[in-house]
Amino acid sequence: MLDFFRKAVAEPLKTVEYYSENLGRDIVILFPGYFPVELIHAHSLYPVQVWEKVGESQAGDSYLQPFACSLAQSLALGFLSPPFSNAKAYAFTTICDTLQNLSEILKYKIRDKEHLLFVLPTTSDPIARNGFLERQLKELREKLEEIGRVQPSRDEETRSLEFYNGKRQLLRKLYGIRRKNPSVLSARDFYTVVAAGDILPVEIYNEELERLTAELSEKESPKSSAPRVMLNGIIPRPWGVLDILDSAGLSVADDDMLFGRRRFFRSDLSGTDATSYDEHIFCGATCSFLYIESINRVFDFKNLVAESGVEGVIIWQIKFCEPEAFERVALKSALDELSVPSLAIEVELGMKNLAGIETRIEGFSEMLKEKR
Amino acid sequence: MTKLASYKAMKETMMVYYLEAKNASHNNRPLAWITSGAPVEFLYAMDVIPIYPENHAAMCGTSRDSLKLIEAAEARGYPQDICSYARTDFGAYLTNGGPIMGLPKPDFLVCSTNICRTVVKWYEEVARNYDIPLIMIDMPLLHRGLNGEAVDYVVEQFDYYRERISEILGKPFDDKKFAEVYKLSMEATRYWNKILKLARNRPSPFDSFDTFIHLAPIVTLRGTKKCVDYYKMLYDELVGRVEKKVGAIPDERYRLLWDNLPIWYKIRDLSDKFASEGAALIVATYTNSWAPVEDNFLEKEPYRVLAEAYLKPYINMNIADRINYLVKMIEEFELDGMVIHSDRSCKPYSLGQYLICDEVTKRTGKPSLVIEADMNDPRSYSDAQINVRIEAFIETLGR
Repeated sequence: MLDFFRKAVAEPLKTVEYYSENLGRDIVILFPGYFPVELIHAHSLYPVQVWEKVGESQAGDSYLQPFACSLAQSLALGFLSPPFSNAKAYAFTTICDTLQNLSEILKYKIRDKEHLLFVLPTTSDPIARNGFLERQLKELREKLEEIGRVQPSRDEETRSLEFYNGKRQLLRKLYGIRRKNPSVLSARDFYTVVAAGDILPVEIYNEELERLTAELSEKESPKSSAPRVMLNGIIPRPWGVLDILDSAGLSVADDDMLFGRRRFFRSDLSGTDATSYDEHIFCGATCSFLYIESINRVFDFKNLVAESGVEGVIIWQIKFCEPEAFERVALKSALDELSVPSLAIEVELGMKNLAGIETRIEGFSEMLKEKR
Repeated sequence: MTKLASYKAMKETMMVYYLEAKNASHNNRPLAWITSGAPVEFLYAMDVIPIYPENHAAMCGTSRDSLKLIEAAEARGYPQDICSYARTDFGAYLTNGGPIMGLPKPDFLVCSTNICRTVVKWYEEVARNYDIPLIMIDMPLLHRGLNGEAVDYVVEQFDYYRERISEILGKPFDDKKFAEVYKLSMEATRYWNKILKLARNRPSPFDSFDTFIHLAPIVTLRGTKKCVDYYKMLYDELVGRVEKKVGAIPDERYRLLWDNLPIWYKIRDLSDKFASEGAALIVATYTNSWAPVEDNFLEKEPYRVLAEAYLKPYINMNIADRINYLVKMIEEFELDGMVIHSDRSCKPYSLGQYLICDEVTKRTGKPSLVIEADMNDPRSYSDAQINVRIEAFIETLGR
């Protein structure tokens, strides 16, 4: 049931090259953020979301100082020379200063690929925000038309939008199944299924995910007595930490991660115009990378923790990630108010020695069990 | 650093400014915290006292108070990975520490994204701590250079900004006063620009360490008469030095550019070190950020002039424009090299510097020295290591 997803994640290069050739679609490499992926798809292109280098590391200078987060370091090293032969463009969202500058570095160094940019508006003024989005979407369509050499009809855009709405709906369903019974999938398997969605074409992924969610819904898994925890952060990497969570007897029941919930728990797109994107991006799950004046991120996080019924939260911090680090005190206070214990772990994407983290997670697990 | 007679006047001006701010609530004066690159003219037009947490943090760095404040913030749980200005101010908030014993409580906040996106997170935290309104004005990095659409976007937000201030203060926006403030702001900026241009003289009458210190009024008081008067006085003094050929350092053999924020707690030491090597740092990308000049500003639409000025700081340029800018500075000021502060706390300024240095050196043949440090956290600074690197760099200039 899971082999299909596992294979895609284990062999991303092979998978992407295979589907690119079979579907006859050129690749657009999508960096982390909230890029209007539907539009890329509608222009007969194949968006591939990356979070770290794919395949063997490319030799050379990343042009980044050591105090850039390991996610940016990995992306810089891996994509100064794109691993995918059919890659036509890079697509960036300006979610933070580091990725914004990385996008500038890649734009300057790589002249044979198109550079697509989606600037997240950060303003209190909702009308200006909408207008800004409108101008950006117009420019993006123009650029995508050049790259994809097609001008999609409204129906084609709607079709792409439905695929991605469908994908998010299915992932929300998967999250619902897990929240109800976290033992239905191990932490590693759950996030492998999510990660496969970044690599596989949306049409293929949706079919497989629909099958998986149907099977999991019917599956009779014994209810686990393991303490339920939530993950907070950007991305659950290195993978080994997920194995540690499983072996320490913790059940991951939910997350507040950019890689996870924050991307999928957004209202469905009702169209591909600025107003629809405005609602989609700014009215869904809150995120450290999004500025929304009317929504209180701490309040939202607190509600999520309370609703999910978790007994503990793991704050999974990638070293040098400033937007996440700024929130740590406020989120910790919110957890203290709920009397929900938390464990902050600091990781780097390529970290190999996880012994220290293992000891701390085991200790946290013991503490949660004793607290019962 | 140069002993300038104007220094005393600046110190007094700044003291009065902070005293007024500390007494704002007693005097029923509204007070707002504002980022250094945000349009303060709107606040002065409405008699709001603007306070710059960044300026305050720099002051704590210069007075060598920053470390204990940073440690207080870290003890509260703020990670070492966040901007040291923010940690300094969080520490001051938690302990009422620093040279002015903490910043006065704001009534509302104004934040602009033209200096970084870090300030967004910083100001969100302050808004949570005080439970006050935050006005966010977006001025995105000029990925495609300055263009009409970018200016339109900012101008549109100015209308909103104006309405929000009016709504918060419960009185109509004072357009007449705004026109006066705008004029004063432009005049002060013009003086600051003229001052910086004096470094084209040989020897330069001041160095960048001087401008780091004398920058305070243009950051905090632009839009006031005090600011114009002060820079007129400083300009006249510096012109006098040019006429008498008095240089910032006794023996100006090398002329250098400084990139990034100053290392506030090491200004004096670095100034002495470079001077002892006969090197004058005379251009700084940082101080230039408050010097965009519009020649016929009175004939133009003020909101557009301001929007352009606020979009243009060096840190808000794309990498290609930053490279072009540095090349232009090297030519205009006849520089021999660049000193690049790779600032752990300021990612938008620092990430990309390696590429920029490579490209500028390729185009001009001028070498660069990279100093790894932090603008306000002294734990990231190594005296021995940096002094050796400076000496080696100066040696290469002499070859």
